[in-house]
Amino acid sequence: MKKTYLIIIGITAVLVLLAIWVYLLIYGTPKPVENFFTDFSFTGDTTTGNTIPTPEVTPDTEIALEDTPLRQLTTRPVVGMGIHTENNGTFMRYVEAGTGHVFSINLETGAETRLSNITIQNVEAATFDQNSTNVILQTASNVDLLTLGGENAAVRETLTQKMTDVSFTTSGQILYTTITSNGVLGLSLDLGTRTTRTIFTVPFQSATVLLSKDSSGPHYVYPKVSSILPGYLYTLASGQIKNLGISGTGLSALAQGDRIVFTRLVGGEPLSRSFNPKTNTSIAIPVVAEPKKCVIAPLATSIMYCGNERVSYGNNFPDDWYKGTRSFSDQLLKIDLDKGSASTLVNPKEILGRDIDVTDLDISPDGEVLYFINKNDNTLWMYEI
Amino acid sequence: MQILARLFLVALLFPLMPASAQVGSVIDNALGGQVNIVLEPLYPNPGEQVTATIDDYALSNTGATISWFFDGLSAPAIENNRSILFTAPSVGTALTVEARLRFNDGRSLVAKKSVTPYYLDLIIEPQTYTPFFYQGRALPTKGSLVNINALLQDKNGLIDSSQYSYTWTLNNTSLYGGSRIGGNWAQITVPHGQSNTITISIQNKAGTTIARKLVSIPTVPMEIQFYEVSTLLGLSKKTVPASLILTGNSTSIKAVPYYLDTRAVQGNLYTQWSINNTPVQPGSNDPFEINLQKGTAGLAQVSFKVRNLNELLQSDEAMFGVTF
Repeated sequence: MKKTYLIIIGITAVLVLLAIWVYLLIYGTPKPVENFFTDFSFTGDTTTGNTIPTPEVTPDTEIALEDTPLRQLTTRPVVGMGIHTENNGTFMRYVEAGTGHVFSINLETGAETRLSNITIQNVEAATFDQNSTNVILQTASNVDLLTLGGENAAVRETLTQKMTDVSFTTSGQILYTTITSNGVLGLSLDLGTRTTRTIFTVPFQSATVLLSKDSSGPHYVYPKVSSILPGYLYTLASGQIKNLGISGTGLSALAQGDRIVFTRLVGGEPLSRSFNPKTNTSIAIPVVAEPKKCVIAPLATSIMYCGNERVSYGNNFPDDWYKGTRSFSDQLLKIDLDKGSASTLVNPKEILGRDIDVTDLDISPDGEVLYFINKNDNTLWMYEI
Repeated sequence: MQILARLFLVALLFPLMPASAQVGSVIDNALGGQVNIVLEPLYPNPGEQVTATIDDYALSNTGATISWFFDGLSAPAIENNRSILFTAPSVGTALTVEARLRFNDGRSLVAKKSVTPYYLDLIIEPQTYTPFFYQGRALPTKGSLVNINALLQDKNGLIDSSQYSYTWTLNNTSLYGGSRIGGNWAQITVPHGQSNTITISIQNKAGTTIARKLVSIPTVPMEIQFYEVSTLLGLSKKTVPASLILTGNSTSIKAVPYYLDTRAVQGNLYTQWSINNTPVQPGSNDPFEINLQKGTAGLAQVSFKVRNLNELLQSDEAMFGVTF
């Protein structure tokens, strides 16, 4: 045999081995399919084992941003996002569900960059700071802090603190709550000195805390919403809770500073009101202000935006929506909280023919961009006001 | 300033239609007894509408005039009404309601009642399971534990519970053998029935009841919901539809037992997955998760059953169809 043939055969063999090595690296050692899946035949034979796929390697891509106010930003499912502006543009950063990878989209060019390829499986929630340089990732058992740099340059730190509700202050602190044997503790964590400080206590555990972006508050708290159990709204003043005189079944609330909007069941339907704690007065607003579907504008707190469908919500709301047994085809609405009026910004069903169930609605610091997750597929969307 | 505030309060008062046909008509002082004011509710919340009624025991058929006073200030607009409506004052503020009766024979009687409203909130915390992503409150199921926290607040916020006695009853049965100083927290095991009534009354050191509240606690059945779960995509926040179309080669389904007693979640549980009524092993360390692989084209029914072996009424079975 000629020497050339031997060299070709040798190189081929090396390439084949290399290909096998790469395959095994990416997909793992093949196992019988029975080890992964329950036999789905009609006889119902049993098998054992679970699938844990290797996280996909996603290259940087370019998002084709349409020149419309309402845009879908991702096809990936998302668990948290934040928007910020730099010298070279406005960026939307988000955390991918499942993997915990962090991406950044330039909202002007559509360029997408992966900022963190650190895989954190089963991420349930993610919270960005004001500049989107720090992000808290929460799983059922852990809390991780990622400090973001350039492409794939994130630094991970697993925090020892157990966190339930999380917020970043404008001064770089993390405000969070943690459940104790007696209730809920509200704390602040200084990212510079890593010191924690107790800022309030709540004497019950099943609490939803509305954390301010200012550690001095005002913060608010109410028992987790239930359509059949009573709730009460409190402000957290001087470290203690104080009743605001608002109660009822199905009680939930959102707040920005002294502006409070609450919802409770009245006659079998959720009804929302805008409440002024200084005058102790409230006016009805013509939408159901579910806190996950609404946000109060940062610069003009008389304005609120909501995802809302004009249907009867019924007396099981929001329990049924939280469980995912019910979904909505929302419009985006602008609500004047002083006048109690509402106007439609956009109806996605009309212009896209798609049902969008708004959740985690948030707004840019300049009040110009709304962004949210479509609960139907957990994709990220934005709307330029 | 205080006088102005009281005048403002009186201005808010308005008369209620007579509770009986005899209001403002004939009053009889034949018994020569005392007159009482009955409040409804007896322990109002701050700002709540309260009905004050002069009881009938001492009054029958003799004429008299009735004058009403609030903290000593006359309210002529509601004169001669036997039953009136007023707004309870703000939290922790005392208001004295006074009725002066002047009978036709020249005699008079005075009745007084003082109202000091407190916020008394009962925080109901069922100790049952809900998943991490569920933002709502857990609900009570039969046999599960429920923690109840009584928060009493005056104008300064939460009061020091160690200065008061708390008496709890569940369906008219006293808990903890009677009142307890500082006992603002109770734990009950949910009994049979669709609803149970918890009552709490709070006494100060002088033995005077200052607040009372009654709350109905509904009981719900445990319920199973199914969610698709993927290592890459995470957990779907929407439940699996009644008929799931399997588009890929496989999927994993998580069964979530809403409102299962938290003591049973890691404990004495019976779980069973079935496909077309034939029991199968889920193929996972997690008994609540099953992996499904596409077979030949067809339909199948997947069901999941869970039972708390310590509380047999805590059980549920749910199913969904799969088209593949």
